[in-house]
Parts: sequence; C-alpha cells; structure tokens
Amino acid sequence: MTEFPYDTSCDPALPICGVVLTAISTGRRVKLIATIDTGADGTIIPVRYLQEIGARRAFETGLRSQWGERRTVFLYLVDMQIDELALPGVYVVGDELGEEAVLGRNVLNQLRLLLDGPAALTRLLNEYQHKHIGRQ
Amino acid sequence: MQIALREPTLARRVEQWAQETSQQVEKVLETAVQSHLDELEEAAIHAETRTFWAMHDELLEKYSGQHVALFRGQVIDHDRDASRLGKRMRKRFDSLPVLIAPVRPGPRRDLRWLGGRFDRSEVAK
Repeated sequence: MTEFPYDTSCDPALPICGVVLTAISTGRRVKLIATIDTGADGTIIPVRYLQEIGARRAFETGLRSQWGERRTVFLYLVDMQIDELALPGVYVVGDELGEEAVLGRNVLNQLRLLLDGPAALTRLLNEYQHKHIGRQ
Repeated sequence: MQIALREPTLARRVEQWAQETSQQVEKVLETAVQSHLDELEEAAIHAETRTFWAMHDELLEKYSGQHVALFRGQVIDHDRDASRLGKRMRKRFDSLPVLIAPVRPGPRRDLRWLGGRFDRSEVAK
C-alpha cells in the first residue's frame, strides 16, 4: 500500500497523490503532485508541464464549472504512472491558466483509493490488493 | 539549424523587444515561433474536432469503444489502446497535429468540474 499525506497547508486538509506523466510523443516525463477531486470529470494539468515534456494536443472539448462558466480546452494524451500502477493512454486537460494539477474521475475510477481523513492520508492499494479486492 | 531573418523591420522589432525585455534575440524568436506553432496546432485540432463530431454517427458504427486518429479530415488509424495509437501516430506524423479521440455513444458534451475553493481572506471577513 502506498500512502500520500494530505496537504495540510490547505484548510481543510487536501487529499493529494504523486503522479508521473510521460509524453507519448517524446517519452519525456514529469513528476507532479495532484489534488484528488471526485468532482472533476477529467484530469487537469497546468499546460506548462505538458509543454515541458513535449505532449501534443489531441482533441478539443469544453470544461464547465459548477457555476456554468465554460472554457474551451484541449485534451492531451499521456501515459500516467501512480506509484507502481501504470495507466497508459490517459486524456488530460491542458490548463492554460491554473497552476494546480487535479486528478479527476477518468483516473480515479481506475484506482482503489482510501481517503483516510482522520489520519490525513490517501492510501493507494497496490496491485495485489487491487486484484484481491476485485475477487471479493 | 540556422535561419536568417531577412525582413529588416521584423528583425529590428525582434532586436528591440529582446533589448526591452533583457532577453537573448534567439529566446524572443523561439518564443514567437513556439506561440505561432501552438496557434497552428490549436486551429488544426479545432478543425479535426469539428470533423470528428460531424462524422460521429459513422464512427460509432465502425469504431465504437475504440480510439480513432484523424488527419486532414480522414480516419487514418484506430485502436482499442489510446497509448499504442498515439505512439504509432507520432512515428508516422512526428509533430504534425493529429486528432486522437475515444469513440463513445452519446451526444457531444463538455467536461464538468464541480471543484472550487473558498478564498480564505473572503471567508474571514
């Protein structure tokens, strides 16, 4: 089991997770800390990180906030790794304005995560535990 | 690669801007070229996305559950594995803009982000 301490500089404390993104086009990688956000349909990455690894735009879509504000955004196709778990071919939104990486449900729904609030830890079950729980 | 900037007014503008912003001339040029290439890529992917949605019904019949690659309005490849498709496209087209998208049933819709954060300074008031 891998654990990621919450970011306690936020109030309330924020569940976060370390991720590695690899650009499919170049093979270059970047490590990031991302906020775990079940309210986000997609994963959002500041575009400067995507440019840094040479990721390319793959698709255009819209991103809408809960207050109805809409922004046209581009999706980038990257390979993602969280600890030892490889998630190839993940579409991420390139955020032209923000500086925070957000792990949305397109990724979260592939993981077994325990948000342990009282311990301020995000627990990512490892591959064995993924399989084991999958059998239950 | 060496490239000469022959248009005198443009060359002068680049030099002046470099001086004004305390940057190397090469850096100003690199930023300008990067920005222009980004605009070209955005325009190309925007156009390919429109084509993707215009032919969505047809794509659904043939490639439902897969990822497709479009280049100049034509489906050029498809795969169940987006990463594998992406790698093939980069090998074939290098840095040229190629749309890669999942083909799923349902209408076009935006992504939603229900997140938000209070501005603590406002909360404290």
